[in-house]
Amino acid sequence: MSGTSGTVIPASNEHQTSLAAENGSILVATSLRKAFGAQLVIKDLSLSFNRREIVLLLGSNGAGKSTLLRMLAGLARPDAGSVCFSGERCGFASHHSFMYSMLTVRENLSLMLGLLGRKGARIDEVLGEWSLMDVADKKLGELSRGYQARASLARACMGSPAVLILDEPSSNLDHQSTQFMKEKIKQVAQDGLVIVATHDIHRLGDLASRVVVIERSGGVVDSGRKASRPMLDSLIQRYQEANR
Amino acid sequence: MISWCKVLRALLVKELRLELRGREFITLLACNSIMIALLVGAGVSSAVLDSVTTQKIFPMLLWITFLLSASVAVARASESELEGRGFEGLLLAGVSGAQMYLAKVIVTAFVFLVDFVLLSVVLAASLDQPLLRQPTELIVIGVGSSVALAALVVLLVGIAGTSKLRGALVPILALPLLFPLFFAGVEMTTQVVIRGSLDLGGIWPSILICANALYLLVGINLFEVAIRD
Repeated sequence: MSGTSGTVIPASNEHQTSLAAENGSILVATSLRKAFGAQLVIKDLSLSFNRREIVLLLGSNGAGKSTLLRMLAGLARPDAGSVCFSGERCGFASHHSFMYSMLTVRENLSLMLGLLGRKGARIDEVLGEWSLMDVADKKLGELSRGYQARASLARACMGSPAVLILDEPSSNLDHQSTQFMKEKIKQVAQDGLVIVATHDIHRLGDLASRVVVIERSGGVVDSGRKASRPMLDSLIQRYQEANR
Repeated sequence: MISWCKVLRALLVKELRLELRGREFITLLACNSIMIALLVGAGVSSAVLDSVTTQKIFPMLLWITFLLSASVAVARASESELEGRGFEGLLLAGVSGAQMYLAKVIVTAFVFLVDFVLLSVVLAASLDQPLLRQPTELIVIGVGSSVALAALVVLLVGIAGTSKLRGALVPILALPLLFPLFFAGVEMTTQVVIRGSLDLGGIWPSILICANALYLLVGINLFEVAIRD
């Protein structure tokens, strides 16, 4: 696949927020570079994302998807470049729970509600919505991976995040939970941005309104924002064939 | 400011819950302290030292035992946080590094203080020292030292958190930085044990206060940088 980059926003910190706002972008990554030791994982990557987008981030193992997502979520510092986020809150779920295995599901989610200042939100409503009522008073560490993943997604979706970033969200979920998660993704994308990194194209491919492929060489293939469904399907198919 | 304090309170509740539910840190700390105290007590008794000499070396033995057991146990203090990347979860919820740091310091200092009191009683009993004549002064020394110690080790746990060698790194990094605490602790405990009163206007309480201020200031400012990747 040939490497074409996404929208590039000039890398001046003072102007990034306003430029992002002018362009309607909610999340702008500019000239990102990240290395682990001698290995350069992300090389001069620039992308911008808008509200009401569901971006499917594809790439083979080691291409730098998780590193990119951590930088977009503000959890990792790029070695060079910058990330500009103009929303209120970013939800992030990955194979780490970002919660406490010694606390119950109820305690973990209550803590998060309290920290987000969502007084009105009732914990029972959240537990019921995510079908976690049965395990609400069990310690997170005692639950199956499926329940842990569901709790982790519930945490990420709390407080109506403007940006929801999901790293392999369906890896431990059954069909029913995946369907529910897809509904949630669509809800968030009604007014926000959702970025999903996944290898589970069969189950999540139909969600995408935009596809971004990261290659190990550092190249990026971006379908762009206004790609038609056949165009997205064709890009996904090309990716699958290249990685077969 | 009110919401800042509410977040801090929520974090304190979380820290206490984790500590009470896991009990790993406090158990390890108390076991280390009691074991070392009993060994030291048995060693000193068998050396047949007179009571005056034992009284003179008691403060030093108390502080060696306390700091040694604390530095070994502290590597487990944030295990529950590091296991599920809880620190990152809190950052995603908009919690500042200063709030996380302060909540952890308060709970860790409380655990250290409990251990210090327990250790003082056990060591005093095993060396036949009338330590409990001045409990208030001893608690004052314990509080000052526990906060400084917690302020230092919580920051070090944050720095070494992502390393697989954190169990060894934290004590190695902490030990040289504990010398001011050690000398201040020994000197102030000597004042209490031998003279029967604590000179709060002296140089050693000032050193302890400076250590507290320095470690807390550095910790509040650097903790978030340390835990963010």
